Amino acid sequence: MTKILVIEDNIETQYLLKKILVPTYDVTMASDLKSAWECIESQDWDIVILDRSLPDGDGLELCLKLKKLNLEYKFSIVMLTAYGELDEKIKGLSAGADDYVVKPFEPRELLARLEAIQRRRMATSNNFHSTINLANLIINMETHAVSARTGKDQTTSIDLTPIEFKILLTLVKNYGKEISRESLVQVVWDKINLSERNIDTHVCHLRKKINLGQLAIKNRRNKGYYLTREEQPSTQTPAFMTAAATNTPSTLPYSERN
Amino acid sequence: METVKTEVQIDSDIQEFVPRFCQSRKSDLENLSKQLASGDFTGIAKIAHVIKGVSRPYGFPTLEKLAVDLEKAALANDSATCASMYQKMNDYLKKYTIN
Repeated sequence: MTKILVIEDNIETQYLLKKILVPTYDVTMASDLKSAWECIESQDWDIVILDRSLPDGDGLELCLKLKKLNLEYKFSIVMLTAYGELDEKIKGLSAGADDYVVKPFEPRELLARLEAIQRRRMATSNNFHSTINLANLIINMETHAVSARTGKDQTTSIDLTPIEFKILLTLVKNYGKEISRESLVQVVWDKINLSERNIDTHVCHLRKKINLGQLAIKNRRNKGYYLTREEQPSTQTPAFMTAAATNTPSTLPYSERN
Repeated sequence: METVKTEVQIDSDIQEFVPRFCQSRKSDLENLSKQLASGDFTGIAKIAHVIKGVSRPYGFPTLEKLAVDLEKAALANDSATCASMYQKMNDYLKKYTIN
């Protein structure tokens, strides 16, 4: 069953949402940002329904925090709020919400929007590609095997630890963009308070392992690590990037194949 | 608990929670009265904001409209309009609460 986390402090709205959602979804309620964050860290969710006016802050902060940490969203966010002005909607959607529903809401409309989000999520997971190719790097998403093309019809296997793989995947998916140590710690260990220096050791090992010609992991001071081609600055789109494969969104810098 | 009726018909599933909704609104009115007396427009706007977001599904569309006007007046620090809206809300809820 689809799991929904509702972050809402108003008891009447909580009751309404339970009545509407419980027959179809597995629903958990959180009444403030603190308990919401504990829920987010401890479990996987499919959808988060997020109010803005919460006792310990604005729900917008949660969206912005996730965006700042550059986490890959495991869940979709629906903002559900009485702030209905255009500027507020733009704020919410720009902060990372996937949808914005204004209170008072029509139950049938909310259900229809949740179904639309589920369809989009299923379409995305069906397009999950089994192989990522970036420069001479080949990443098998099913087995997590990584190899590099070292010659015509020749590949060399690259033995990565699970942590190195996670770091590499994050950098690949954010090619050319700096990822802070804080974000990498969150991706790798799912914790915020771990020392960021732990990441440096793993990146150092990873650098040596993927140093097979075309790609390099670089560090921009106070910003983070990024993946780039050796002779290209990170802001330029490398010429070696393959064109989007079929069914692949055109904004991806690498190719993915089923 | 007092008997309440809704302004418009609502889902029978929601009906059972209406008395509690009205009880919450009574508390809101008590708080609004205090905030009006002390000129706490931020507090008034907060309460109005909540009422506006929750009244219609529970069968009180007019209460929603009153809350919209109250929130606007509070954001504008308009004490006269706030007082007027408060009175209208008070009268409205009395109308739908039957002893």
